[in-house]
Amino acid sequence: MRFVRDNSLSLFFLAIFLAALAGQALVGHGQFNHDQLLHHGDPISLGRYLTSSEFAVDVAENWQSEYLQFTLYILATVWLVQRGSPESKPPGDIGLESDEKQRVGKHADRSSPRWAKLGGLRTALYSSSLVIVMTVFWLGSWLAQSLAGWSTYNANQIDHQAGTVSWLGYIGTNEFWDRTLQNWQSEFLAVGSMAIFAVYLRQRGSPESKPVGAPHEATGVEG
Amino acid sequence: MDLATGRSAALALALALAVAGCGRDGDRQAVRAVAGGFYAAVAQHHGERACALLSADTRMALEQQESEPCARAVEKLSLKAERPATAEVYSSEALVRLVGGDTVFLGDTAHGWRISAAGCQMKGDREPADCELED
Repeated sequence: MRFVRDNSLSLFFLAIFLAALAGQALVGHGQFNHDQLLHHGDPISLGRYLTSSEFAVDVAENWQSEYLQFTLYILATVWLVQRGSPESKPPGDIGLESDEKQRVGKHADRSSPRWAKLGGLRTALYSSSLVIVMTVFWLGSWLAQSLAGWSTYNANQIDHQAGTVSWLGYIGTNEFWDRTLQNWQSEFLAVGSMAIFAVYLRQRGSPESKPVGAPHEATGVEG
Repeated sequence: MDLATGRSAALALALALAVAGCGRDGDRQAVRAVAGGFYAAVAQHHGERACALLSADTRMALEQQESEPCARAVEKLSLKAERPATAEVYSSEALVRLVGGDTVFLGDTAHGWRISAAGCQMKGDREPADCELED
């Protein structure tokens, strides 16, 4: 039980992620077969839908935008600030900060991760490991979106007896960028509004918010 | 990037390539066989055999257009026997280009790959092809 309590945030989001993905699979399958019948096609099984490019592109286009959002947020908050926001550090701390403040190399203590103590390339890599991994997931899911989207685009072209396009050709289509940008704009709006809302609004008990009584001008204070 | 992340990325890429249609040699062979078989059957005046390779909608469209049974109507199509050259498969749709320049469109049905349009001259990716036979 202690494990569950200590990891409840990760476990909660893992559980609702799996539930939402299962729900998307079921209703997506239903919608796909509805379209098939309207086009005089044959319904397909759930298993076949789960391995189809139609399901893959719908999943991947949302994944890539979420990982991009966090990648950008992690990077942007190194150099950009929002005065009064708990999401931001104080304007005086802009940049990568000193080794002493970041507790790397000779400033690391006994409890620091091993790669923070070693110095050199390993510490440099570990110092950006969060952004590196998030970027890999962003680019990986964006590539997956492009490949699955290319397949559904060409299937639609063939269904309309038109010629197919290469993968590079697909990257230049309105469809690829429509799928991409419609997700990006919503992520950017959500992050930007969170940064500014948190200056003036509070949620008691949440570390994403300042303490209820903290002044609006206080920056980088988490409740 | 650690090993687990590398493996996850490789798995995601393999899955993406799989759903994108790469590694579908079996389907490509199947659509080439159906397209080639249809053209051979028409050239040899085997109407029943040719009609069995058409989708239900295409068969119906041909019968309505010619006002006669498919097996007889299909033999009147001016299609020369041509060998398949290249095949592309995406999701449940496919096209086969024949050596003489014709293109055949196919869809994956409950009965296997069936022809939705044949005798088509392509007009690029921005407008539909001109087809001798279509649904």
